[in-house]
Amino acid sequence: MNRLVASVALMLGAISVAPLQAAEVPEAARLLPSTSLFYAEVNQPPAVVDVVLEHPVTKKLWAMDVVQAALDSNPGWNRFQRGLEALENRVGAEWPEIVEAISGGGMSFAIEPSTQGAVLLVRAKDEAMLKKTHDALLELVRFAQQLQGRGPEIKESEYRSIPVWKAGEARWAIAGPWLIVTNKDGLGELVLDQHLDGDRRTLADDEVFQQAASGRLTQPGAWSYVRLDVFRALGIMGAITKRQTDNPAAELIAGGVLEALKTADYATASLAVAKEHIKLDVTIPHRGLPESPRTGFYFAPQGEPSAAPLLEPEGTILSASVYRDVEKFWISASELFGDNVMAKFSEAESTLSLFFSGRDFATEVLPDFEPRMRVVVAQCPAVEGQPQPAIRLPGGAVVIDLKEGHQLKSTLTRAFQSFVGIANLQAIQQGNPQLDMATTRGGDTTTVSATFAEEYLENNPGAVPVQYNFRPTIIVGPRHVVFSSDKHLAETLMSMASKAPSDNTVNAEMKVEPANLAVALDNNRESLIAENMLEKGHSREQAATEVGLAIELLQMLEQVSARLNNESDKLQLQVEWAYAP
Amino acid sequence: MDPRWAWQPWEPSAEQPWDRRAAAHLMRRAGFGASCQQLDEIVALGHSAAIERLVDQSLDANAASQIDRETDQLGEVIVSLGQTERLSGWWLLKMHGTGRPLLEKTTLFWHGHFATSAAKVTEASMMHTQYQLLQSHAFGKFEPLVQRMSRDPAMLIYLDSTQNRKTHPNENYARELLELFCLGPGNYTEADIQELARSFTGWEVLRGQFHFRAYMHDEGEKSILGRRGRFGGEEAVRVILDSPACLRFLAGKLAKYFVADEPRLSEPVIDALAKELRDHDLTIEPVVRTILKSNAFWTSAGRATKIRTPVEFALNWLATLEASTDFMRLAEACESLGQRPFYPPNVKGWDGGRIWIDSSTLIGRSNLLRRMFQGNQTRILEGRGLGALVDKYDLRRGDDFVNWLDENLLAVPLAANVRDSVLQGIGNRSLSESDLARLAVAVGTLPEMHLS
Repeated sequence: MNRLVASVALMLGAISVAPLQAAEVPEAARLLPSTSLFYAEVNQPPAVVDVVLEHPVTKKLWAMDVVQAALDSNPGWNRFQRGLEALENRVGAEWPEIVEAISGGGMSFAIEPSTQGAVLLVRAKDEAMLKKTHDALLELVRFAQQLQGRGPEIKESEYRSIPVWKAGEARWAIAGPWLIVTNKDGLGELVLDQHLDGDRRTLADDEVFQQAASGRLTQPGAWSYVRLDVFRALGIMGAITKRQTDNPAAELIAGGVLEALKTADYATASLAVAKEHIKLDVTIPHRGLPESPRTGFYFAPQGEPSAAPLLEPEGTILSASVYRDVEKFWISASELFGDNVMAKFSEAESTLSLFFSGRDFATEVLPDFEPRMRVVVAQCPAVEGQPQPAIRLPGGAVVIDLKEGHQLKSTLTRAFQSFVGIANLQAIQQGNPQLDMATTRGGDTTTVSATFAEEYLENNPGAVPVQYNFRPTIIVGPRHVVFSSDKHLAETLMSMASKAPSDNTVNAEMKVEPANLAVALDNNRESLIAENMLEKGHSREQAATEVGLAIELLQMLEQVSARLNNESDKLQLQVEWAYAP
Repeated sequence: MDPRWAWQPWEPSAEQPWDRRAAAHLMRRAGFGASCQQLDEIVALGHSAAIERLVDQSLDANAASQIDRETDQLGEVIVSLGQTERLSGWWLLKMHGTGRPLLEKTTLFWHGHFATSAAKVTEASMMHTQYQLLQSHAFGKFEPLVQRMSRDPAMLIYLDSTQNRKTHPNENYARELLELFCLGPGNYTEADIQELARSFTGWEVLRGQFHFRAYMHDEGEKSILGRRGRFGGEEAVRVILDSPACLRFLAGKLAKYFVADEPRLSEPVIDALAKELRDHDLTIEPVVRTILKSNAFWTSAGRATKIRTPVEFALNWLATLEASTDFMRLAEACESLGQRPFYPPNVKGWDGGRIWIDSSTLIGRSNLLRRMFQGNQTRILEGRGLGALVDKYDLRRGDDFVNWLDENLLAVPLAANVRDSVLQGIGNRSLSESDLARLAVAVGTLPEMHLS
């Protein structure tokens, strides 16, 4: 392993030196060895702390009795508060001022493989305050250790006239405005040497890092960078990039991304924190993705439409759209999965062929589907005159684009009827309500919808079972098929489905509307309270408070969205949490 | 023991005073334990009034606590979601917080008597309905309870009796009715089972409901326990309940449940209780009242003469520590110790007694207790911890705390040398949370802790 690490270090060292782009490269990178394979920074820690603490959500949480009670009864929190108070007294400043002074220049963290070390660099705005705070902390820790008679002894030494402290695995030094904390002497010495001499090749000199650093944040937040080629050389990524897996669901969700990780040099992630939102952006630059079974089903061919636009009917809780060529996925399954999974594929193929009028699922059904699929979860309006179940569940639907709807119409509607028939047989066996089915044809669509029979309720007085939330429906049109748990939702989605893809680069997209989710939870407040009482042993009042808080916090979120873009030179995942104004 | 004296009311004496330890005995047997504060209130009430209150609360729907009402609603939610496996946690929560502990304790008795398992009857509504049935008849006459159980869909499904045709009478329910529910082994013949099964022909389950299929009922004459007639199921049940063996069988089971696990009580003593049952026309409430007030219950024949069940073990600790917990996890823990409510092991129910204790369940009980003091699953005194509990009761030193646990939790007082070994290494220093937890676990793992 050590030899491998050394060779990787050599490999990194051999990369040609490019001119320094001073404005774009972080200052801490000038102290870090060029062989660092992971780098992360918080560019303005005081501003981040300020945004978090001044945020309405934090304030709301802070004002909650339940939160205060939990903190008050937590010995760790109480110790922290007493320690903080003592620190403020010794330094003669309040903690926000201390944070601003000692970390205002940013915090950086790096991992360096040749020393097998990790290092944290904190850049102070006020060197004197850094030293004063450090001395006060040291004094407090030593005092606490004396009282409790435990904790590693703090030893003080020097390295090239710079005082260095050690306690257990940790060692740290203050050099100029920098607080340097590491777990390895070797790495600490490299950083201090560079601080004193400035004559070594550093991360800031690394061409790949410079390229990556051009995307660093300017607003408060965090940014990180990882050398994937080095990780691959170290064999760390073998497990996630191996050719065959045993998890088809994971393959469908992340297969293409894993393929990109196999060839990319590096990846970056940034987390921007503002009062209105938190944005996460993960980028994997590439020079064109390799052709493989994974990329074949995962990404649309260059220039062709990718995922369809999101469907957002009224009351949408979650809407997702994805490009996945299931036909290609199915056909190349033997290259993606091991024998156990393939046995299940064969079994599924036989069962599905039965449902789809005896057609071969892989070669006679899947080719009629377009590789675009959308999923919607939404609040469904109660149907007047219909029994209202004790637990109100939202509806869910899947919309799949079709190549030629009329060819599949009968096959799909018959498959749906078979499903309902089997469900009815099971319902009889288990004493559950059965479904009545109705077929309607209008224009170029066929609708088959099923409703739970009301006669069951006449024979079974009491709470209306959860099944009565659903009216399973299939609608087949010329270009789309909708499978839905609710007829109204199915009809709405069919009317919205025909909008064409607008952006060719979107591979997958998802949006969550927390306000509507809060409404769904609010509709089921009783069952959530029940859950809380059972699992936490709370009284009803305590449980109701906790559930109420969770719903309120959800209402403070305006939207959560995620999008995976595949552009010609990069794969980019963007996630945003937007807060209600 | 003199049979007449056994069931006569006990009077406290200097040797056997009515004190906190005695109140704890009552609440262990007639409930699932109580907090120290509750025990002191019970002591102040006087022993006779305390028993009267326990029984009266069981008969009075208005005595239901806030938790009773909340858990009843919770039960409806669980049923409407079809979450059968959550019923166990739900019932533990109800047992823990109920304002009518004797009612829940007696319902648990009937659950073990008419054992039906959700492992087979997976429909939550059926198991919940059976629970409600057992509870509503827990203190009433035995006959309506047996009649209702004979029509209970959960029971019939559990005993594979959903179809019972005159051409092929199903003997399962008939056999268990005689052997396990009413008479006990040796009090009937195989021929009685066959004839009884004929009486129940046509009693079936259709669409999850009891259904009498008249054309499948055998209308012919039957001979059951020496009596002849064209008995239907209802008449046959009456014939069985008229048997003197039923009185002895039921009296024996009630005495075993409330007084002593093993046959410490002689046959004449059980016969005397059976006479009580007969005098009250097989009504349970006056007999339970008699048992709880009796010399048999309060003197040495009834003290520390039972092994705590896993449910009693766990809930007694929670009650004493004024704690709450994750009841679903607690249900799983009780299952690993052999007793998960709604999941009896077979139609005989839980055997109880020494069966509860073996090397594996002893370790399991100890682990359950350790987990109670680790992590944040269990919230002692609203999450304030053991430190707050000892402050509340002003237990300043280790021996105060151990004495307090002894008095509140143990059926037999700790011997001085045992107390010393528990306190070893603690001395008189002020106690940290972990010291208190260590002491509690040390007490909880003593052999004395498993006696009730």
